[in-house]
Amino acid sequence: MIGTKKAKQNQLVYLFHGILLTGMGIYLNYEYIFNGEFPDAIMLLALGINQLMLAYLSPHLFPKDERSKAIMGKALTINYFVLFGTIIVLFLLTGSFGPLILDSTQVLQLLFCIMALTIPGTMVIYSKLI
Amino acid sequence: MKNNIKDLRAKHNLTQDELAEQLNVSRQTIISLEKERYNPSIILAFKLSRIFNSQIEDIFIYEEE
Repeated sequence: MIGTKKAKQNQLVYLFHGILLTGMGIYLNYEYIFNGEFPDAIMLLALGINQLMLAYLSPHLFPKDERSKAIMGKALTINYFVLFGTIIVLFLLTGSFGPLILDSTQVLQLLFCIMALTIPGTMVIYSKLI
Repeated sequence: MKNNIKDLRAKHNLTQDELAEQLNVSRQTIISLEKERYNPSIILAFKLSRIFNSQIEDIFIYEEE
């Protein structure tokens, strides 16, 4: 069987990182969010949630396992469309008539967060379905 | 696609872990196969047929949709 012990070790590491980063992310971001400002440490929160999802995915994803490859392939296809959708929404929100004003770093941070959340997010959904 | 993997595995006194090890896949893959949520590749189907000493048609039941 493909590395179950390693998967459990990885799961604990992901869980530890996830709890730590999510906690730090909430602590650093909540004030900005309540004041209606752009949270500068949003990537930390996204990474924390990403790690928590990877902790769930750890026993499902192995390099040479064909079910894992199917899950990853489908998740990446969905992510391709989500990324396009996000870019269109950002165009509409930050354009000349849009309500948001974001600088380039903030746009990149948002795109990073979307990718960090949708890839493992769709993998979690597909690991339930497949 | 329906399959008889669970019955055949029990007949051969194999645990999910043991079957996964022989097939070089994860235990989750065996669980998904047994729950008929995942259709295996042709290579995995052949490996299963060799382990169970059966024809592929005896393991998997293809039903046209």
